[in-house]
Amino acid sequence: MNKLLTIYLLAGLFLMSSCNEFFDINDDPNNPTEASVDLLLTNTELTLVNSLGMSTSGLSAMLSVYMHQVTRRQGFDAYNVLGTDFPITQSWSQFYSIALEDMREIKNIGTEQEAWHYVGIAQIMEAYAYSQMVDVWGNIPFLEANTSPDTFTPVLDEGEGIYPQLFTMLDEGIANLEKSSSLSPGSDDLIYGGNVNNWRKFAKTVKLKLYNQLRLVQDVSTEVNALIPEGDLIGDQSEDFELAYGQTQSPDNRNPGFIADNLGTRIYYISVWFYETLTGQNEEILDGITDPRVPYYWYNQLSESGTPQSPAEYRDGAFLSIFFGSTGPNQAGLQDQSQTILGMYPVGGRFDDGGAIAPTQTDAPGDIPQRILTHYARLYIEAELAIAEVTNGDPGALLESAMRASFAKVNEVAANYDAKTQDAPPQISDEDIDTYITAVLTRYDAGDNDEKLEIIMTQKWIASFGFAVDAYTDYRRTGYPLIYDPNTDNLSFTNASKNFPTILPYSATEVELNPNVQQQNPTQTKVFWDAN
Amino acid sequence: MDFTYYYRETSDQIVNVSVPETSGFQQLVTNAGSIENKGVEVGLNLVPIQLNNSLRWEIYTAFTRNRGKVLEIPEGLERFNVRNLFGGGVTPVIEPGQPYGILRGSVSARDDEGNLLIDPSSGMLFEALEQAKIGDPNPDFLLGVTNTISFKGFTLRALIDYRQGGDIYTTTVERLLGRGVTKDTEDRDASRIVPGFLGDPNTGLPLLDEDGNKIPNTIQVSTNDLYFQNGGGSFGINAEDEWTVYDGTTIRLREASIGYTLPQSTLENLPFGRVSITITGRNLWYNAPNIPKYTNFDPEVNGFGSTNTQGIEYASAPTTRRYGINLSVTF
Repeated sequence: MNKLLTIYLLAGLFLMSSCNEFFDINDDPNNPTEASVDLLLTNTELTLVNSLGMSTSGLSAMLSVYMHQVTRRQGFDAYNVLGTDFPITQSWSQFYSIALEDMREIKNIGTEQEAWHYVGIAQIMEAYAYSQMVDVWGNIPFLEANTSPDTFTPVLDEGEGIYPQLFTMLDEGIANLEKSSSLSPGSDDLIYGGNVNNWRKFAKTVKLKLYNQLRLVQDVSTEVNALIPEGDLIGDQSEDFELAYGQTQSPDNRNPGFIADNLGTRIYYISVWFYETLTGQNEEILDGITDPRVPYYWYNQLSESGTPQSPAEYRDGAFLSIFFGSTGPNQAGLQDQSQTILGMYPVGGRFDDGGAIAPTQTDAPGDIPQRILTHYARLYIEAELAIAEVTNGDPGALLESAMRASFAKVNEVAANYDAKTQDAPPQISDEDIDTYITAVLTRYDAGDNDEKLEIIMTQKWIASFGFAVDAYTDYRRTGYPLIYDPNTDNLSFTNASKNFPTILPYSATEVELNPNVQQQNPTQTKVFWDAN
Repeated sequence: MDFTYYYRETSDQIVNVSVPETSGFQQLVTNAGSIENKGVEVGLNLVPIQLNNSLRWEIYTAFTRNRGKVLEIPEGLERFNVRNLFGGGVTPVIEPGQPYGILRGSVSARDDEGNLLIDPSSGMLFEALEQAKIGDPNPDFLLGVTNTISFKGFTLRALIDYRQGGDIYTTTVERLLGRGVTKDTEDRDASRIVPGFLGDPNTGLPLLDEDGNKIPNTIQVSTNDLYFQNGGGSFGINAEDEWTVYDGTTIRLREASIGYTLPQSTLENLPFGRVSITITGRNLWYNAPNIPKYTNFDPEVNGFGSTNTQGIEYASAPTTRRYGINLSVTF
């Protein structure tokens, strides 16, 4: 009996020690080695949007300077773009080592678990991310990218060869959205809240955008004329591809452009060129037409009679800014409480009610979405395709609906704006909208085809304020909108010794570490679709 | 006299290898590489004077010279970072054929003969497309000399250190020169001409006159602009990284002390066994001849302390000078 008990006890001890994982100290519950698709999706979306947007590490932080929507006192002012510039090293890093790597993981896990909706969304976002990367960097690591441990030093693939594969990727993504899926996204999808119809429409709108970008080097009329009549594109602003932010300060989930510009150091000045265009003072663009969106776009911290902290380089009434490419004596003066800053529409800053305060972080919500691909953008693309005679559409009518959609977007943002310490902003009235649109369309009707294209691209550029990557691509393809030239503006203290960068340099970190990537010269290289 | 020669080859260490981000990752932890270190250490003790009246002068000299060389790194890579610093700025790297932890960073554009290229619109430098080696933080050799002179109860001791070479990237000096707060750049309004040839910032190639010759730079710039440029191309603030690297050669009075021990005869009627008093001072004087003189910058400052990252300093706190009095009494 005693013997038997001993055996049981011994057996019990062995069983216990083999089942009990108490001493398994190599498993760290705080650092799981396997992720789930829903947790990956959220961060992928956030990283993708932030590396394109107005965050200090986003491409728009640099490209909105080159598209003369804002001005910055930074090394990359005056087209002096370098591979060490923060938006370049950071967005490169975020694209490849976070967003695309997470997408690879979502595709792997999602295929294994038959979570086809996740797989489809990852493929669509991957195609979109690569399209933007080709558009700014040209030839990039594609086939060998994110294939570690097989290779740690991917070679460059030609942008021209990547584009067709992106269409395939989008089609596969759309097909996967149609499959029945073991898991479907919900609130983990920060962009569409799990609405797969919106993802499909986004994918098709990306296709339309890419065909349009190819139109100078390839006949795309068959594809475009098949795609538009389907009527399955981003159909109204509720289907816009944009990422909403919150108002929480800790952890900070506000719009990163708001964090960069509305707290502490203000990094963005409003471009004088953009200011004069919207206020009807730019002799070369829309001269004499005042844009009713001005108080929604930027905020004047000074009143018209207010005294700035330092002597102003550019002052017009309440507006204070500096010039692009300036070496003037007042360029570097401290103006953080005096300069005009990003307002409600681009980043969720303060609506300009003329109150002329220096807003702190409690004076504005900072939760306005980062727009990426919108309904109005789709309509401008269609207007461009029509004026280029790729489609039979009526470019004037499309331009008008695109402009109406642009105003509707501003009004949507105004309606959703949490006014904090000020009165709720008014809607732009139909009367003001009609006056503006009529004035623009009068110029449009009077112009030749080239001037018509200019007006379409200019309106798209104005509406895009807060997201400059597409404007940068549009400018290189079409030559419009007209942009500021610091060398011919009759100001002796503004100058750019380098030409406009037709491509961005690679991240210096990549060039240093990857023997297969040589740096490219931003003024001597072009993206394959750039036929100009 | 001690003499040591050593040769050591270390291989397959566990290292964090920074890999290209296009691989999907930033770092790979692996066993890799090999590195050799060889050098000599010499210790020499001399007593030039020893007299019967107890006067003694002793000199101890220590000499150290180390040559390190990276032999091998993981296959496929050209180099990797010792530490990832601020995205693409000056970075300590491990590269085959080079000493451990050399510094790479941005450099100014040059022609194929190594002449600086000048932006014709500003008269200043402009940045080259690719980065390059800009410094080696490892010193050529170190020398320490300790002199001890003792006479009766007095002891006078001084340690002099000499370091030959060893580069340092220092933002302290960069800021001081850029803001013009030291005498080094006092004549801020004077005009200077940067030696070099005119170049095209778009192509990075020298401009040629109608005979096909390079055009020497004759554009005057103010000293102020020379050290502070918003758009880069200066020698101070917003300079290319190479201009912020200085040679760290230093001679230093590391420590000096004077001590006195009471003679036994005076202690006979006191309850003490031994009484001595010493006044010491550390880091009393140094001279770094290749650092701008009036910045008084001490190249011994290191932003990353005793780590593998050497020769980089981001406006760190300066070194300290210390004095002490030491009274020692035994019963």
